[in-house]
Amino acid sequence: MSKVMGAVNRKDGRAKVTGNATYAAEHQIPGLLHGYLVTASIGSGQIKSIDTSQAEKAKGVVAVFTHKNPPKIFKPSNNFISSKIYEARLPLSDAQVHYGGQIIGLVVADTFEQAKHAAHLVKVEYETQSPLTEFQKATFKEAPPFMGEELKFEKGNVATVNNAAVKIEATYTTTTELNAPMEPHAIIAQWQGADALTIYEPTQWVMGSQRTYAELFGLPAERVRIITPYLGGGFGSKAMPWPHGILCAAVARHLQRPVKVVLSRRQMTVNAGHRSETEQTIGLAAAADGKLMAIAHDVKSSTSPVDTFTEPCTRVTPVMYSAPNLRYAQELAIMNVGTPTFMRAPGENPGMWALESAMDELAWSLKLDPVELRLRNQTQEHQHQNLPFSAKHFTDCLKVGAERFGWKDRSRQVRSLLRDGQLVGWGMAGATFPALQGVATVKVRLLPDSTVHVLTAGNDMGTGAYTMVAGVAAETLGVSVEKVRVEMGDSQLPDGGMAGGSMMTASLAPAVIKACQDVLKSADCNDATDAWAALRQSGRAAFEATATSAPPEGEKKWAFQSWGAHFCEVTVDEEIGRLQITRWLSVMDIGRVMNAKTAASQVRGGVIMGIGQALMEECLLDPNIGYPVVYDLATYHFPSHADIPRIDVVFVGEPDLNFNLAGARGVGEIGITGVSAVIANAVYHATGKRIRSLPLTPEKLMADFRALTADETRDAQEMKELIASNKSHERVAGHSQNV
Amino acid sequence: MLARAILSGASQQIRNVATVGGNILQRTRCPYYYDTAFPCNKREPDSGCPALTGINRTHALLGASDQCVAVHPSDMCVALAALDAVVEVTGPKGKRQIPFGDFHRLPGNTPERDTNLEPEELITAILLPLLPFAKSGVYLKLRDRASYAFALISVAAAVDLAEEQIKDVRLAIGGVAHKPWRSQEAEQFLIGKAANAATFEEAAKIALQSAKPLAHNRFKVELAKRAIKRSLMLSAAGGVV
Repeated sequence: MSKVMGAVNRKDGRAKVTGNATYAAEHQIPGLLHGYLVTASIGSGQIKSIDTSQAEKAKGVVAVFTHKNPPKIFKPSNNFISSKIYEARLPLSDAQVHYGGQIIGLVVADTFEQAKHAAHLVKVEYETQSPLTEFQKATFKEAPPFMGEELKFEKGNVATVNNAAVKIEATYTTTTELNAPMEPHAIIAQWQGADALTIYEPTQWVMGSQRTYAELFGLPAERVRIITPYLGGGFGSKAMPWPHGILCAAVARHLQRPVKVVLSRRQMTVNAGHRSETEQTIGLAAAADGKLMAIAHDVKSSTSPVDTFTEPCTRVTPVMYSAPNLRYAQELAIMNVGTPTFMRAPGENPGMWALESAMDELAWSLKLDPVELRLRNQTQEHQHQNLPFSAKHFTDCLKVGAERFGWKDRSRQVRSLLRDGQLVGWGMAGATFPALQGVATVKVRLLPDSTVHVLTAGNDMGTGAYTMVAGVAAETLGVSVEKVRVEMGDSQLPDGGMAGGSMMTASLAPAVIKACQDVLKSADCNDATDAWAALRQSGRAAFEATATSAPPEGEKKWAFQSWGAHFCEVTVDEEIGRLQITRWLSVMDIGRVMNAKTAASQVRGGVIMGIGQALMEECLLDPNIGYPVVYDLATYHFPSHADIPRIDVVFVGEPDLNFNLAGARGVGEIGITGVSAVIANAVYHATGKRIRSLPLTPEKLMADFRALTADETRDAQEMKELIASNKSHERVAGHSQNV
Repeated sequence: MLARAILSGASQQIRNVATVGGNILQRTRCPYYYDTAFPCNKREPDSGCPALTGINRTHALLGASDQCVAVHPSDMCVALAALDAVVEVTGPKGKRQIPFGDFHRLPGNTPERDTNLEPEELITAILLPLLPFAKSGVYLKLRDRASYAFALISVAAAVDLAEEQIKDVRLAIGGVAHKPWRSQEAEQFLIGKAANAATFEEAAKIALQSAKPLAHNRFKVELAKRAIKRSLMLSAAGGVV
């Protein structure tokens, strides 16, 4: 099984580019009604009154729901094993407004336009409190465990390290980032009577959604069917029901009509998750030879008043570098913001921004090659779990990367390279993501028409799972990939686990292999060609087998983790704060590479998303009203093609057979980790300016210029007067909700 | 200069369906104006301006009022302002010509009015006077990403040199005001001076001397000065970018 599959084109590519791939909101359902959300225009307070009379009289309106007449919803157990929702507070449960843009109503009408128009006609009066949306003003407390894992740890004693040759301590920040998948969040809910529900919704976790919706409506799980053959990205924000989905399904039951709700881009800025701001302080102490003596990592992040999500940045601290004294801790604050959630490499992404920036600072302080510093300090064991890593090839990532990039030819001084009047800088940083695996079941059928049919409820969020499943089946059965038909993303199929945590490949591939082996065994043949012949002779309808992937056998013996290294070149026109990334190389160790083409695409996608984080992504909230001032894909900046250089991706390593039968550890998230650090490190090399707050916008890059904070630029009295004279801070009825 | 300004605007898809009149008539950009969740004096006169005390990183430096600090987003219009274009309009009272500098308005106490186009008037032509030294014109656009973003600062500049002396010059700035901002003071200062970095730096200072930055856009004052100096240098060297 050690053979790399090679580069296989997407099975679903043609359907997607020709428009034949049907996404959730595109399903045509007879008698479909359209829902439009009414959302709060204040950041904190209570609804004093809500007048829906105008809206109800508007043309085409079927019903208007608010907290005065909420549809019936049961509180779910809300844990990952039985059922999980993103936001513990159920929609329309009371008059409280916890954050700007919170859902306070739903208008249902015959057409989308009618529903949207009527949503404008809902009049709301609020009792307004001043919202807390500024991170610096929040109150932080010790963070609770993250999915059962303590976010604090200490070995040795960091405080007593006093004979270090070099010590550095610095604070790194990231801003609020939006998952912003290409396909907006959307749902169609269709009831068959009062006790059977079909849902078309982009979900990364079909069976989890089935269990959760079942609990929300007091049904046995099998009475709920979730259909998600395609997702247009999710990046962690589509794994569970959000309030809009719950509300849509509840209203559809109440009305006994199918109802569709699609979030606007504006609504997606608060009602579909985000990555919290973070503030991380890293302390490093090292001997003169670069050996780390101590690592300290303290993290702050924020959550909403209605659920708890901690951005688990410290998960990288015990896995990257070895130190006899190592300590980490996280704090969390409640702010009047929408609920943050998983976003591509939650924890690892901001964690690596801070840690890999700090390692670069340490390397400069020690006058040591940053590649060499990392080689000298890598750890062979997970320092929190006390387990050795299985199949770790971080050394190869660093060495192959350095070789291919020409790292030895770099200049050893900052501000030492000039090209066309611009400063040139090189940077490097590590990458990492844990290898996770769920339990997945796959059914394989050999059919007499010489095709193979693979079925599972696990789904493809756009990453290439259809292609991976087809490739593994083809390889195991000894047939061409064209002979394999894959059906995914329907809860009536066998439970295929979650497309999250980069684990779909690791969950599915072993089950596919096992089911294919079993089907050949049941046919008593060595490959599918023989089996098809035997099948036709037997006159049977099909040979079939169902298999389930087991959790890794070595779970107690090994820690499983993927590794990587990024290298990049930037040019900086520092007079006008203009930066361009001109070269990029990523070297990854992800165990077995199942499909060289789609795997490299995943790494590139991660790098591009990381470049967005590094240079431009920022969801700013108005400090007085508490609402994001970005509202679409034009105002929330992410990279355009012109921002992206050619991205070279190289894979190293070997199949991780301690992990699973396929040896694959997954590749969806590792690409984004370390990206913002490598860019900031290259900027330092180019300019001598160490920037510790993301994104690296022009004002931070401009030479001889320090961007003042808002508080520094206007004196307090002047600001007070401005606010006092500004009518915009009084919220008035009739101006009371947004669309 | 004009071609380069147009090419730097929007995205290829938007440019393919855009019109010249539509570009000139686009409303000012401000997240508080575009999002109906917020009050806005431009959308609803006298409802307040949350941008004054809110997030105003991209907002105006010049010619703003307490009613409105939004900026005009067009790239093309910055070049048209520099080139002394004339907007020809036709309405119930017949044809009239509006010099480009008088076409867009500053917000004052009527931020709801972006232009001096009267009701029922239609733009029928844009007249571009011949300007031989426009061939050394420069359009420099600085923004948060390399494409498909409005200018933080943009500069349209053209310098006409006789020997090393500035015979004539055009200078307009985008991203700084409710309208494309032609800086005649800086132009007047430059005429007759030697074309060098010190002169251009001084001109940039003059162009921004009445700037009133807000809490988050202070950097734009410095960025505008540097962009002006850079653009004038480039134009004096023959014009590229």
